[in-house]
Amino acid sequence: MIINKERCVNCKKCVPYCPVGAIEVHERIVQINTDECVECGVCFRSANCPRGAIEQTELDEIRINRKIMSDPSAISAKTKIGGRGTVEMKTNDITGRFRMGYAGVGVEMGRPGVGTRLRDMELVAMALSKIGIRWEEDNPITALMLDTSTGKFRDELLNEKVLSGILEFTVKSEQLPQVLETLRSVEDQIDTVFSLGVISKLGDQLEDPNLDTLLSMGYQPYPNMKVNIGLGKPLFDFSSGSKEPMPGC
Amino acid sequence: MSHSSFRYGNIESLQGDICVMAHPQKGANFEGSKPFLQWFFATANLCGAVNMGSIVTGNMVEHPPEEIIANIKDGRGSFVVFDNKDKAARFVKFLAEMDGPVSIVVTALWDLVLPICEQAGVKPHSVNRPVGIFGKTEYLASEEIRQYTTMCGHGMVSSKLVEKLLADVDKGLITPRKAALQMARPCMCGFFNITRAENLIEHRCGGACGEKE
Repeated sequence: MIINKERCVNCKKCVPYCPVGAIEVHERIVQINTDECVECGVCFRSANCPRGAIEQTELDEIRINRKIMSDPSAISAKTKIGGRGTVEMKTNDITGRFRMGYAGVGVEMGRPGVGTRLRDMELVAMALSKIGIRWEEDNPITALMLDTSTGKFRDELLNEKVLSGILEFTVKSEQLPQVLETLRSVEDQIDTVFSLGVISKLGDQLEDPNLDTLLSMGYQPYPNMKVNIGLGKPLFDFSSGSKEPMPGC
Repeated sequence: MSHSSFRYGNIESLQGDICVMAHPQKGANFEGSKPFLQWFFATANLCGAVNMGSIVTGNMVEHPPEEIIANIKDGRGSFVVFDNKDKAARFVKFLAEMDGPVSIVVTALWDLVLPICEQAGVKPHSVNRPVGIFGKTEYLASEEIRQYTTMCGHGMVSSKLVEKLLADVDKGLITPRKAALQMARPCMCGFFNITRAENLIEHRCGGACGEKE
């Protein structure tokens, strides 16, 4: 995003709208710090600039990644859908992507409201790769990895800043403690925050097979959560015990 | 991934915060899902949703429900939020009776989701459980501000905007309702709970806030 200097009257109305504080005022002149700007488009859409001075510039193949990870209306070339991750458990009743005995893990870096450089995402991704994580293929962050076995990103991407990005993968439940220990080992090495979510297929008695692991390791999950209530028409037969999704998933 | 979860606040406040989303799945019900999604929005509106939206059109603050309903496209995530358990339960019961093909996700306190599902005769299938926020947590906005900003999981509502609007209410420049509506505007998906925000502001100033004559 840029502010057209010929139109801007420096009224500062747009300044508070930026989620990462990238709209700055220097000597009464309002400008966007393009290094900090994550291309989320909030200023363009919501600040109601009285002069129409906020403009979306053309983004090159590096900078476009900021927009994909920050603007919900942007579409990832990889996934062909908007958003920073995948549909994860939202459609698990249909796809059978997360089953009993497994834990889906989402490490959303930069959330809430901090933003992250991709170098911090790479640091966490490389640490997790060392314990044998298999990255979610349809995730737009996975698509940025040079090598999914190491979690290494393309060097030219590392300074890019995004509002948030999700590292996504699924592990067997017995590997969840190792994942959590790894995340603990890197959390003081990053210059941002991450929000951690764990996905579980509930049992017949609505038991969460991964909850005891979280509690035993000292985590205190939130009392509110996302719940797929099972109304989708399944392509996967959970009762069959098959390890493979039904065709079409 | 989980942009309706991680909504921050105390239990009392979260009692009035129930998000419901419909999410088609490629390869299953993506194509041809528009009529169901239109029914989803229209029924939520009748049931008293306080906000709704999708990235196709935007939210209910800036667009009337009729426009959101008309514009929704095949395969798009569709989002509504309720300020009341009974309204949400009624809506979920309609969803269960409709028996549509699309996956439905409810984000709320587990102690609310359970009775909502029981009333609708459905059984929770999978959960995405927010575990916590880690790393440089000193960079986070204050707990008070996060009650508002986390109602947009995409992070479109800036902490500075919330601070400014709260200050405007304190100065008597705008009412809590107007401040809540302004906060909700950047949240394209319409998951920002306007009533909850208004209640939080009212509570903050002990009910004695508002525009000065």
